[in-house]
Amino acid sequence: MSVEPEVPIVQVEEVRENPVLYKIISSDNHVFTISEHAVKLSKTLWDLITNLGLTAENALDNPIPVENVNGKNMETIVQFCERHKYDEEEPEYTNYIREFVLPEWDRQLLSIDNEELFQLILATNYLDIQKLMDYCCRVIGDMAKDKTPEELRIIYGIPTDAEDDALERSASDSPGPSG
Amino acid sequence: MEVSQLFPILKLPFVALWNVIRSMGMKETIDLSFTSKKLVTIIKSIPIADPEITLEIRPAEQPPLFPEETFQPLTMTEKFQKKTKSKDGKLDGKNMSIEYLEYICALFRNEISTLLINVNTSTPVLTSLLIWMNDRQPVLTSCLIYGDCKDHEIIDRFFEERIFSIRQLCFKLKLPPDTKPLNFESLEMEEFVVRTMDVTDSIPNWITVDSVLTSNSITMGIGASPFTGTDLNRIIKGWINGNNPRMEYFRVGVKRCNRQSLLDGIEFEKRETTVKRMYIAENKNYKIQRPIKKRTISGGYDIRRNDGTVATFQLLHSPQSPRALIELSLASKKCRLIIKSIKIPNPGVDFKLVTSEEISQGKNDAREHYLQKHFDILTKCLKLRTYDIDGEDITVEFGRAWAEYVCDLFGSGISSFIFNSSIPGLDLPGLSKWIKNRQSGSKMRLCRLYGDCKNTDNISLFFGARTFSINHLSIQLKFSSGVTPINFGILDMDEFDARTEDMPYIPNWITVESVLTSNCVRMWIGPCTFTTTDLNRIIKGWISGNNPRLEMVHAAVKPFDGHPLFEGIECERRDFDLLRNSNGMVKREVMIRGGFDIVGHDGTVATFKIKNRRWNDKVLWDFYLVVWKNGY
Repeated sequence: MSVEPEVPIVQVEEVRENPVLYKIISSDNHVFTISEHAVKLSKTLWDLITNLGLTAENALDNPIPVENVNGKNMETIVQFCERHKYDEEEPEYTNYIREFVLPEWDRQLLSIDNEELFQLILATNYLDIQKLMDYCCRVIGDMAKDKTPEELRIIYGIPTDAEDDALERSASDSPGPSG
Repeated sequence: MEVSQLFPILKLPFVALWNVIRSMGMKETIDLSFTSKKLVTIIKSIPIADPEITLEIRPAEQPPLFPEETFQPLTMTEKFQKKTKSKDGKLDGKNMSIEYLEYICALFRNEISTLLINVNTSTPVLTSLLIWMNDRQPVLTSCLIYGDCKDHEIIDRFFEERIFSIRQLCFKLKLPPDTKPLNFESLEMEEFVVRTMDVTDSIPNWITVDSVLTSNSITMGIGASPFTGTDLNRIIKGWINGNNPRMEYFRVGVKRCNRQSLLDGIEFEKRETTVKRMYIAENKNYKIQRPIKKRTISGGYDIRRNDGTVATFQLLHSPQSPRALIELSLASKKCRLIIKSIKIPNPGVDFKLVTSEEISQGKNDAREHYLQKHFDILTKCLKLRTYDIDGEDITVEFGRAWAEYVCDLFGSGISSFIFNSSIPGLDLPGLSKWIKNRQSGSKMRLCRLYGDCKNTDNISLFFGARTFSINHLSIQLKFSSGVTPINFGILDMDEFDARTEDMPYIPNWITVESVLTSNCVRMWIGPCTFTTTDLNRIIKGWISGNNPRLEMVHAAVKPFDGHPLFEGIECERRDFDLLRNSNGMVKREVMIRGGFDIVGHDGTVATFKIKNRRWNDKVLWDFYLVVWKNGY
């Protein structure tokens, strides 16, 4: 059988100059374009695109609103997905996830302040992007290196047992919704 | 401690919190657990398949077995005491107590999987640990007993007092010559491994034949033993009589062995060396390196057990250390003659040319000292003063003379030729001619070129003048952007391996003609300027039978428009779900998912495929053509 010119190797079409693009609108009304291969890294967005029946022809005319993610985080997410869109699929980590090495490019991308990182994780969780979630979690986990338990408590904002107990007591003492 | 910003992990979604904790090392996780009861509950709830807890016990003043940067087991020393958490709750890794171990095992919901015992550990530490382990776990996956053993009280005590079974037992000991046989009780472990112990020294009497005869191990790899041919004969007869039905692999090092005593009274069938059979050990999740994963047995003596099971044994000669023989050869002419008369199989003469910088960077490298020492002796002994010696460096001429001497001593050719191609003024054509003249038909195992390469002319001259055979050609060159393709002549080696990718551009260092005219079995070509037309020619070339030996070719290329790749090629697209393996280069297995099947002129099927990957800030395509020699 001879292969028709219209049926190239799967990956070939993705590297062409005119890939299928989608538009995404963040909660603060910033508009982003993202290629098809990149958007597939987000299970939430890809399910949405599939369910909405968006195609190469109508994708740009139908921007997708994402109300839970602001423009700043969306920018980081789009950059990340475009960067990793051609990555090989990785096996799921059933044990520790320490085995992988965080690439320098991604470490730079995630060198943001803790509040931004926290918001990015929430966005990543909402958009269901496994690889970005693993990378963000690695950055946070690395903060624990060479720290004492007391230092960890401060870094991660962990209440003491006494504080936890006090919180629990006050919660049980306070009247419920019915009074 | 000042913290500019905290990261409230407890406010994260639960899956993210799990991932954060799973991304930490074991020590960090333990420290995190000390922060609050809530964290203990969370850590215990994380689904971790099988967390490995490794414990090392050793004297405080002795270093850990593994360098700390590569592997950090929990450590217990003789400072051991029943202590609770220190004031700030910090885990003191050097003073692990039973309470801590109990706590850690409960935290990770697992037992100790690997135990490393320094043979000089104090008895109270070992005893306390064994009492605790006996009580809480029936099985230990791996146990390694190591160190400079002055007496074997600790080893004997270990076997006397432990009740739990061990799946893999490993020794890495230095034993005194007057060592008495160790009391193993019963060697019932699946795998018994003894490393170290050089057969060139006297071998202590540390193990008895009865220990082997009464064992129930599946795999036994014993580095060096005091056994004789008669002992090995008993072991073989023991197996024939069914003393250990689980036995799959047994290897033992002996100083000398009388073949007659070995074979006495054994019914066997001698197999020719052309009969090659492979033993593959079952995959086991042991922490300590295994003595065997797979091994090809060429020939040997087949024996049969009463139940019909067939086994093969071989007596292989392991040569004395070539270095020791070289030392000895320099003592006198008579010594040289004696060594020359010994037939030493595959002595492995490596000829390596490095730059002065590489030598100075490797000051702690024993090789420099070794060469310098021999430079002095050999210069005196063989009157090599006429050679040009530049300071402390050894010249190429001296290297050649030295290689000639060693090859002559062992009656062999050069087995590997490794050189930094950026050595100034290196006469590569001259070296090529020298190797050609002295190899006299013997095949060179490895030829490796490395270093920066601004100009390929000299390398082309090396390969242009080459007539000697190479088994594996390894190109590890960092090419400049303006290089011209190397004239390799005919690439006729089994392995052609050029995988340097540490360049910001794709150099034009190889032509497609080099591939089309080659006779290589496997070719791994790193970033190169091949076009879609070139790849099309490679595919067509294979279909028309230009290289019947080919098993795999890989080339990393720039992305291109895919259509000309298929021009004039009959192929069948396979499903993405179809996964096939091919044994590729050394230590590299190629997994092909889907791809396009083609059929060669002799009916053999092959598959080609292109995969994307990121390279620097660009995208590279990996082209594979895999031939299914044995079906798939």
